[in-house]
Amino acid sequence: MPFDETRALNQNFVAAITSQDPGLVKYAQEETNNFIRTRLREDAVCRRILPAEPVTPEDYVPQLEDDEPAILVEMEPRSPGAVVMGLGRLSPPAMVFHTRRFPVRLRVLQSSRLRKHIHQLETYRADIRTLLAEMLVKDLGYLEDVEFFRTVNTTLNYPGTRRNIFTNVQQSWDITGGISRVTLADAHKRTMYPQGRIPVNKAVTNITTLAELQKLERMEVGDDRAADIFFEGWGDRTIFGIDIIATIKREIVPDDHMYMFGDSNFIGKYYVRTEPTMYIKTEDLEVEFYCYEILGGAIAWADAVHHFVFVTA
Amino acid sequence: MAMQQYLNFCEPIRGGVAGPLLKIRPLNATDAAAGKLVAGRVVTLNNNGEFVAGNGNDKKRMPLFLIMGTNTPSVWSSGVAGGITRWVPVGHIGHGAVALVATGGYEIQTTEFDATPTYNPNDPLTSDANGRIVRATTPATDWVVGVCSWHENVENIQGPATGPKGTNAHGVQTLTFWSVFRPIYS
Repeated sequence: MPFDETRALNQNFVAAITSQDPGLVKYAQEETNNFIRTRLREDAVCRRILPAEPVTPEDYVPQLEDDEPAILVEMEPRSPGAVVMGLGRLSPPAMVFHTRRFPVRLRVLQSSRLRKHIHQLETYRADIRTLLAEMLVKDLGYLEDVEFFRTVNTTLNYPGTRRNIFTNVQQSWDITGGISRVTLADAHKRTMYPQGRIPVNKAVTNITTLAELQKLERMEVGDDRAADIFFEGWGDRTIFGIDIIATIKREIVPDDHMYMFGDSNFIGKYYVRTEPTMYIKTEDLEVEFYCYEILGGAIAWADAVHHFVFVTA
Repeated sequence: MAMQQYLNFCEPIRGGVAGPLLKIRPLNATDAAAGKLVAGRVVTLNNNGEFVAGNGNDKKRMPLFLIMGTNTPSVWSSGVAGGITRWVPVGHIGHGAVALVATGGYEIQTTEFDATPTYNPNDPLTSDANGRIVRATTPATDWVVGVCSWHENVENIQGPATGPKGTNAHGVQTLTFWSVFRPIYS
């Protein structure tokens, strides 16, 4: 963006947030809000695993013990298997079925409060709105992913027994041999071990591990797509029909780690009450702004959650 | 664990803007699971940066007073019932617990105290190993975290307060004190 245009944008923005006109302040907030939501959808990986569903206060279920917002979600009831009946005796066992419910508690994720003298703000040559999005909203998306993968690791008891805490089935594995067609297939095979038999359709890894996938040769890939990957990059290619999501957040998904997930309906819920919202306040010659969102999630079943570490022997 | 948001709490009844005088850290999982980290308890930071109950026998630790602990669902929601994990809440495993720093100049009202003794204004207070406030019987060597003040927030139909201990408008018994801290380096 040309400097003159950027400066004009910034001046308009500063004028709006420092104005006492509520309409102009609202304009400034909307300017940042519109931009921010786009970035968050691109950046928070966890929302591609558990898509965020909007909720309103009408969805809240008041709780007996506290006054924090909660939403109850019903789970599929479990049922007994069929039995063989001899002819003439029509008395199979009876069982009253129960559904289970779990709560999704909402909480606030918030950036730090950033403060700046108005006249210092006017000296910025970069687009302030971009700056806000970079500094605040990415932090929210990052925190969403930190919390989500921490929860995933908890459900798989990793590090620890590496077993699904709901069923005690091992679903976190070391796969020896680095990344190859064989080891990837070996990992995929293990996603079919849990009794739920839920097919996986998404895999999350990081960008360096994705680079390892790009080493797959023609002998492994089987046709010219190995050359296509060499020249064009991985793109949106799948493996075994599984979408590959590569995050830049290597601190959250370490090198050579890969998570695989089934459809979100087999995992849990992720609700958003308030999408990232910019709060801007001016007082005297100082402007203060922060970003917050209100959301919550829960993993209620983990047969469709898997974790692999591709170990180079 | 049954949530007790209305029964366990502390709050600054007087004392400026709390924001800058808060600390937000994760709860120690062991103490949390043991029920020691409900709101109102005295906590300190261990070497992992977690809130633990009491001072861990280290009298130079800065005391803090939990205002959001395991009885705050947005901070802690275990999903365990009958010893079996039923669900795992995203992010609600003790990260983001909030405490008032003892040097923050607060007058605090808490439910987490030993209700047995009689308390008088200016009585020094310390904490037991579970983070509950108790009267400091040897204040010269105790880890002093507060000094009794006078009960506040009594309902007008209940008559005036008679000391630092009393029932507040929530109908729960509380102790009211000023937070102070004197580290002891041995």
